[in-house]
Amino acid sequence: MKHRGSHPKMKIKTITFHTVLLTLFLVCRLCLAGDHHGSQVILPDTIDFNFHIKPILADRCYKCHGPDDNAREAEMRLDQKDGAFGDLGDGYFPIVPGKPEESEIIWHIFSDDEDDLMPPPDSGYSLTVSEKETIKKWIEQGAEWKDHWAFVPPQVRPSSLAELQKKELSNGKGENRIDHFIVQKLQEHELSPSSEADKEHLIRRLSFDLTGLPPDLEHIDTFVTDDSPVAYERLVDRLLATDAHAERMAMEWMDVARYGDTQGMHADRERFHWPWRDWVIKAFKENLAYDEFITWQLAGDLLPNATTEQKLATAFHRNHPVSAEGGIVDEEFRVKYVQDRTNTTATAFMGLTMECATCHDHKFDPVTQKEYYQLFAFFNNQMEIGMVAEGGGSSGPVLLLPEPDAEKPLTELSQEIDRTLRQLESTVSRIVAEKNFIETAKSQIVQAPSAYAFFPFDCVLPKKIEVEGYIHRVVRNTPIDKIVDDNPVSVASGEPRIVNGRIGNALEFDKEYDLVFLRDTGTFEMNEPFSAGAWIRTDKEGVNQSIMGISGDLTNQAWRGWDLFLDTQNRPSIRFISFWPHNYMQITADISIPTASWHHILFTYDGSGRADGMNLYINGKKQNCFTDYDHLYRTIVHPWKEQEGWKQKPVMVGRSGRFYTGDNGVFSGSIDHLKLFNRYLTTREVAALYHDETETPVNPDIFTDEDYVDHYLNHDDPGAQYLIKKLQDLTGRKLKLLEDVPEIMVMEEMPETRKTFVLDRGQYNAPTDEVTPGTPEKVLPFRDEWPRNRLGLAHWLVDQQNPLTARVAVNRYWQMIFGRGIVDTPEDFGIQGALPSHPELLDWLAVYFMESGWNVRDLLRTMVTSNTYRQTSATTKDHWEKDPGNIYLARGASDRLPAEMIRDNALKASGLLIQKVGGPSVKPYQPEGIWMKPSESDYKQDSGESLYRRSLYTYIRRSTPHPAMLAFDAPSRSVCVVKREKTNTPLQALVLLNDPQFVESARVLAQRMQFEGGESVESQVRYGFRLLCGRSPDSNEIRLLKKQYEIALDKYKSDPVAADEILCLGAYPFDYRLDRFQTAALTMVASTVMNFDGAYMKR
Amino acid sequence: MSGCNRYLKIRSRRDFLTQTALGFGTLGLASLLNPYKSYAADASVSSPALPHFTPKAKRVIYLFQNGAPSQLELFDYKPLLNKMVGQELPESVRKGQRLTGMTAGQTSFPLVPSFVPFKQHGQSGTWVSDLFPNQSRIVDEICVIKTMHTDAINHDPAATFIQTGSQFPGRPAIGSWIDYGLGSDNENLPAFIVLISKDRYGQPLYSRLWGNGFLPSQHQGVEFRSGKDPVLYLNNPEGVSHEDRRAQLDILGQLQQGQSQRYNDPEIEARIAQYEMAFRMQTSVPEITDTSNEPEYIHELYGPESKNPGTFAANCLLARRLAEKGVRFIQLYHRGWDQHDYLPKGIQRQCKDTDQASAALITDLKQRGLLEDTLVIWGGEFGRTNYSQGELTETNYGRDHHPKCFTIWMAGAGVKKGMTYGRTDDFGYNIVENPVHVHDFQATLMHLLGIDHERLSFKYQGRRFRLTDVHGHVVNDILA
Repeated sequence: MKHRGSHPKMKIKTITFHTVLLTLFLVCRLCLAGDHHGSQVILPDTIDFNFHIKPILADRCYKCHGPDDNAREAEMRLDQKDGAFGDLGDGYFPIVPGKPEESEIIWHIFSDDEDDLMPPPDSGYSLTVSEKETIKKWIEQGAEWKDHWAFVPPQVRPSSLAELQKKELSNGKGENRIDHFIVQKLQEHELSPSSEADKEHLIRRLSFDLTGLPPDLEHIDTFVTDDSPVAYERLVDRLLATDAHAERMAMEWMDVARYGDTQGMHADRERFHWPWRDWVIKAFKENLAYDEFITWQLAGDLLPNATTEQKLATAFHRNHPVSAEGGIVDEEFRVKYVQDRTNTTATAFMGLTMECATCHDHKFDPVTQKEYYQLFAFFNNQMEIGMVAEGGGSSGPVLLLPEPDAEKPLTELSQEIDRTLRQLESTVSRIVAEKNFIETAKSQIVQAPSAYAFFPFDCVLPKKIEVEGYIHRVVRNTPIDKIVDDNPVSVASGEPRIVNGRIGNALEFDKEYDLVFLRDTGTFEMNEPFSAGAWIRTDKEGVNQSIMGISGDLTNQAWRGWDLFLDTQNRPSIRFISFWPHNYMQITADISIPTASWHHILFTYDGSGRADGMNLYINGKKQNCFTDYDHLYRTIVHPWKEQEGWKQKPVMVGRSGRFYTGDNGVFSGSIDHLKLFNRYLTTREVAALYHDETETPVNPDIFTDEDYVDHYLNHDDPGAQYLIKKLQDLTGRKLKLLEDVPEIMVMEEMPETRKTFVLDRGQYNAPTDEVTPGTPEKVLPFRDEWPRNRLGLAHWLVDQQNPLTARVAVNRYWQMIFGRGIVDTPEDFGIQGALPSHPELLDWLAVYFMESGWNVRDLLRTMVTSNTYRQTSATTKDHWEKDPGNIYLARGASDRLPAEMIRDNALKASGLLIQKVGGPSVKPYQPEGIWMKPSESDYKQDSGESLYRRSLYTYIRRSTPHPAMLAFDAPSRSVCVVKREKTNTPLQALVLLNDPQFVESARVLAQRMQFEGGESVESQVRYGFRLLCGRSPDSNEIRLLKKQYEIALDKYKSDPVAADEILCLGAYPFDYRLDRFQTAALTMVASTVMNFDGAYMKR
Repeated sequence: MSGCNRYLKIRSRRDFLTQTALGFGTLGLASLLNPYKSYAADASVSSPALPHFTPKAKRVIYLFQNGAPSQLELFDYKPLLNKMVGQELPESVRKGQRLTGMTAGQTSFPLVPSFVPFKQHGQSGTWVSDLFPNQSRIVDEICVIKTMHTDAINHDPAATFIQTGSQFPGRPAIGSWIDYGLGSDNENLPAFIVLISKDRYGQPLYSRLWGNGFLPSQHQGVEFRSGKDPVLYLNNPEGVSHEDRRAQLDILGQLQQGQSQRYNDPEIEARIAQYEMAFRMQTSVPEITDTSNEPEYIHELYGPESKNPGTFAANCLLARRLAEKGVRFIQLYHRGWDQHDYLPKGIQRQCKDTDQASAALITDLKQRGLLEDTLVIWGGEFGRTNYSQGELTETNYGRDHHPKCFTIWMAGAGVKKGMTYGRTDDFGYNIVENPVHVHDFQATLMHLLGIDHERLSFKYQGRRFRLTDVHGHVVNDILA
């Protein structure tokens, strides 16, 4: 690309000439095209780098001349001072302060040569006249360079402080510090503040902002008549102390935290997650400091002596959607989950669009791709998988959440188990201490144990067996059409061949559909001792091979069951799974078996629920094993539902599952003489079994003293046998108790750190450089004393020097109260984000917030007690013309209420609202057929109280959220959202007019109006209007509503059937003491008011 | 004064805001209401003048075949597979490319040909299998693209990808982008309408496939349902008649006027307009969805199921009616194409459901002159493997997901007729000529509507998002 152009002197000439020409040309073009910059060729007196220049450079230039090393053109870098003012070589400089004519960028942006013009004309990034002139003027004024405002820690200017202190002294009433900043800006824009809103408006606005609910009429009356100078402050404090306030704060956080009641992808089934939502409510109720609020959610589990509550808080980062779609590539999705945590952390706490650096260095902000994966590394260390279980499955790290009354018996049982274990230990010590014990034991002869189920695999006969269902899905198109050994329990699909076996014949498996199903046998609970083994011979190496097992995935139930297999090194391995990948145990022998020869492989299990209760044997000899994982604490019995006569999930021999990730694949080779034992086998018994089958004598040298003790305990010592049995029973009881104890997904570190790599183009399968946990350097260096884990990340975030966290938080709460953030892009404080409308105010609030101990309630109190907040929201012509968006707040904020509040207002006005805090999400009215089949996910509408809970508790199925909520811009909670859209659509009108929730509320309100609203229609209408709108109707409104009443009354009198129809709507019964026609007519009145601006708007 | 006249009066007074709020010309509203941002940070780089150039298509009907129909049984004829039936897929063809978690563990990948024969049809000589006797007859109207390919290998991400340009939730649907960019040509109907075949199950559908993502929610697709409430909450409650509603809205309108004076907020006027739109929809939607007044020969064209509301055939007919009314984007969904096993049985049922009506739609649009400016698309989210999933028997086999190639067709406005585009290898596994990535398909679709896919963007979370992300090339070869 041609950049460095002609002789500098010629440039000056060209610029002058072309500036004139261009301006002329562009002005014409602007007139034609209506470019909205046309009127802005008037430039500010002082051009500020951050406010005027950087936005232009960032938007139009940084894509090629910004932080991304790989995208940089012409070696020109304009996002850093060094680059912008540095020598490009040959004495050319991008920017020469005070000298636009010598500045390369001026030459390029004003060039009339298409090859020189920057940005390139075909890029779609062309500059407007005013933008070019702004850059020029800035250079003329000396081109003062400033760091990006948001990366400089917030400071309160000494001059501001002094003025503030003066204000406080001189102004005892009303005006607070916020007003100081607001008034200053208003003056700059020649605006003047509005008067205070009347008290009816104030209390309604305040109630919605702080509690999400309208005020009670009594509270309105009390407030309106309270002449005390502190009446307003008293009201604020009362509202801040309510449960409703905590719920309102939680409502805001749910969007940020992407909370949902379902998994989020594919079949999108339910997840158990609401206790986390209730924790959020509790945290706000207790006014947990914001720094702790963040720390607990990011790293509560890593705090010293972490409490259950602190661990529960970390469910925040398990809120992201997950997929249970069969056959997805596991790692691809796991990486997505970690990316979601990374992106959410950046958006929610840092106001940074880190996501942009997933595939390459950030184009605008100083965040490298490496830094993205350093942040990613904090969240990459969970024991989790990409494909989660279907239905109610909390997978990965979880926290057991027993009800308080279930907790005690569980603790007691655990204690009793410990006691019994100790008794058993002392029994063992006693036996070992006995002299001559070993010698006596050695002389005993041990018989080979008899099998509970025995499959010699000697012959295969064709037999048609009709199966569809899940079994069929394992074998796909292959019929199960063979019977093995003439035993109806063992059936086969494919073509397992009869070959010479170790004993008699054996079955050879060489295709994936060659497999044997053992029906209705082999299902054991984890407190039941059992053992199993077979002769095997394989030629394969390098991949897992399933010998036999029950855990292979048929129904996406987290691989529940047990599984004996050879690992990639042909080492025998046994695992018992309750819920993959966090609730299982596994041991693997430390020796590989040779290929192409017969080996007897067997495992034993003593029912203890511990990995040391499992043993692996090769050819009758116990093996040294290592423990892969040892955390099994729930049932291993698959929740199989009988299908086509198959009562239990079958044991599959020769393969496991449906080839999903986590299934141990196809066995290649022969299997013979498979035996299951419904008890624990001692080392001596296994040896006896082996030697029985091989017809060779037992070599006693292989036994250790422990083996003798173990055999004796299990067979000859009634005391020990009693204790062993007792332990099994106690474990069984514990399992039973745990059956109903739910688990919630939380964060927990794996013992060994998973390595993190930069992922090329963000692709899971393209790792490049290894990285360790870290944070973006330009924001704030990571201190050495902080641990490089999530807790350290939390420390980094809430450090007083972090320039973002406090600003981002106060901005979001400002947005909640004033309808618009001081930074209007609460998700982006970076270079591409909006600039703060009141930078000093933002900094003051941020500093104040931190100094107050991150006190959210105090922050809100400060906001709502300002004069700024208390202004009337009525707009004057002057305000509208100068500031239609009310950025400078010369009037109070007005906003359409969020979806939840619109519904809650109607419910509260009618008296239907149930104000109960917390609990499982509820399913109120929803049109039929929204949740599409498959039928397991039919929407089952609740009844009774659950129809009338606050909308915070409405069940959120993320793939199909409640349509009435969606219509009013509630997000689907799939991703972190810090700002809702505010739209105005016909669908909203249809919801308010026709949704049974609103029609029923109108009808019940009509009843309430008659019971409580006085005798006359007018007073009843007035009462209903006040309940919905928080103010009394004026005479015109009364006139219109009475007219509505008359019209409707006439109609219903002449059409009683219609009256009955509307009175029957909804679950709440009509009170037949009331007049049908009047109630129907008042229902129409109430409905009209519900659809009226005064009801759905905050004014 | 009747309600309608009253409405016209308000409209003329507040024309601009009303239009804006109705969803036309929404670009630019944000900056109008937010002049602060517009100084530079938000200066619109993408041209607000849409369409960017003269469109060929005014509207789209997208017949989405959810679950991924097998190209090898429908359009992509591979005689080599007949010769090699049962033989292993050569590694030289597969080249280690990834498989789904469902067949990755298979040790054998036996090639399997189509169980039905193929023939060439029309003047174009387009290959179509005997499963599509009706679509065989319209081949000279359509452009068959055999070389679609995608990044995703499973249903949820793949459907989300082809419908929103991203494999993961959160982005706007194609229809939402089009609505956002072009708005509506009909004041009584939404610009983006969704029709889903009833009683046909399989892979799940999610409302996010027609969701607005980060675009304002007025751009979300509106589902038209069979049954008594064709749009959610459209019907007045029992006991409230159309006249009652009119009277109520008249009074509500007056109340709102008073409120408007009280607060001087133009949003209130816009809200009144929305209520009037809702009111008109209460009439226009049932009218348009009632196809019983269509002449018998039309029902015969679409097949007997077209009289059964909610079926694919009835939805195709309804789509034509909506197209006639100027609805911008009509998105149909038909499920059940996920033939992992028992493919011969399964795909025959699917074809019976869809073949006649798909062809009828083309014929019907053509005879009305609507095919000139309506783009029709038929296709799923990915293709299916040339090897059998599960055991291959004489009469039975299945096919797993295959993202490397699949077939769709496009017809109508601006697309070459009677064309077959792109070539896959003789195994039907890899593309050998003219690949069309999902983003290319999306770019082409937008191009036909007069939109430069690189210029229609929406700034969200600090970044300009496009339907095609940073990818996509218009497939000029197929443009008429």
